[in-house]
Amino acid sequence: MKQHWLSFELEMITEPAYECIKLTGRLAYDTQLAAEQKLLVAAAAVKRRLVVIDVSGLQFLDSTGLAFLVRFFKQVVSANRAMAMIVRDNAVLKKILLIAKLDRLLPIVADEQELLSLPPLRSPDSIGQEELYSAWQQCRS
Amino acid sequence: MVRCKASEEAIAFCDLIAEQTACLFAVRDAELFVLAVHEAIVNAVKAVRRLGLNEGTILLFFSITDDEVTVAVEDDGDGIPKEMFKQLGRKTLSDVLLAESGRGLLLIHEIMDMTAVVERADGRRTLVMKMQRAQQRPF
Repeated sequence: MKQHWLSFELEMITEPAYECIKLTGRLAYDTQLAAEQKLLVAAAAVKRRLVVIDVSGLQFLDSTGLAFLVRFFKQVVSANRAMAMIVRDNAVLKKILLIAKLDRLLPIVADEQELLSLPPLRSPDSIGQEELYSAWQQCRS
Repeated sequence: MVRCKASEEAIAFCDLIAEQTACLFAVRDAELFVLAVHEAIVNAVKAVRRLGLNEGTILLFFSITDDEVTVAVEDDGDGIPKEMFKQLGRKTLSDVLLAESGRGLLLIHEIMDMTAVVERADGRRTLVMKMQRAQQRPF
């Protein structure tokens, strides 16, 4: 987890079935001002029912960053949307998310394919967080 | 021992030192070791800022044996609040699942093999933590 970049970047990509928000750089105490501003703008710009946060490009994530992810999750869910996280091959990020128990809040999957193969996502336009999470839990067990 | 002014620069500098230490002395989990040290330093910087000390400093100590790396973090502020440390062992990361703060110390406790707070003579507290070294080492 090389973390010499003192920056945080966010890119939003609208896919047919979901909105993907790609995070790169550091999501940490020292990038909190940029992160707060960018995540706020992103939360307001979300149009799709399903929001996918791709954290695989994050080089460092600390407790401040985790708090931002939780706050963003709460904003998404309170707007009746559903959210999942994609980690790809970023094993360190996945480990931190699991230590923080975020897998008790939302699906943490390897990639889009794994997410879109979950049964309720056959109709992603009407998906709710509870439905998405329980489908993921069933696939896990 | 490293002494720095409590600032963002200090956090970045201590992160780099923790990375090099983790690599050189082959701790059990280098990335998590760096995260734990980072969290301790951020706590220290926050403690200094809470007291409004413009020139306040933080201190980072390392002690290395054949088996483990010990890290101690002190600050010119009030250190880790006593109530917060008392919650360790009783509170877990599951208890703060939806919280937007309060994970730092719990992460340190979860990651490191040992975490303790030592009361200094002046009443302030030093955070001490240890991580085992891996069997396979570069030297």
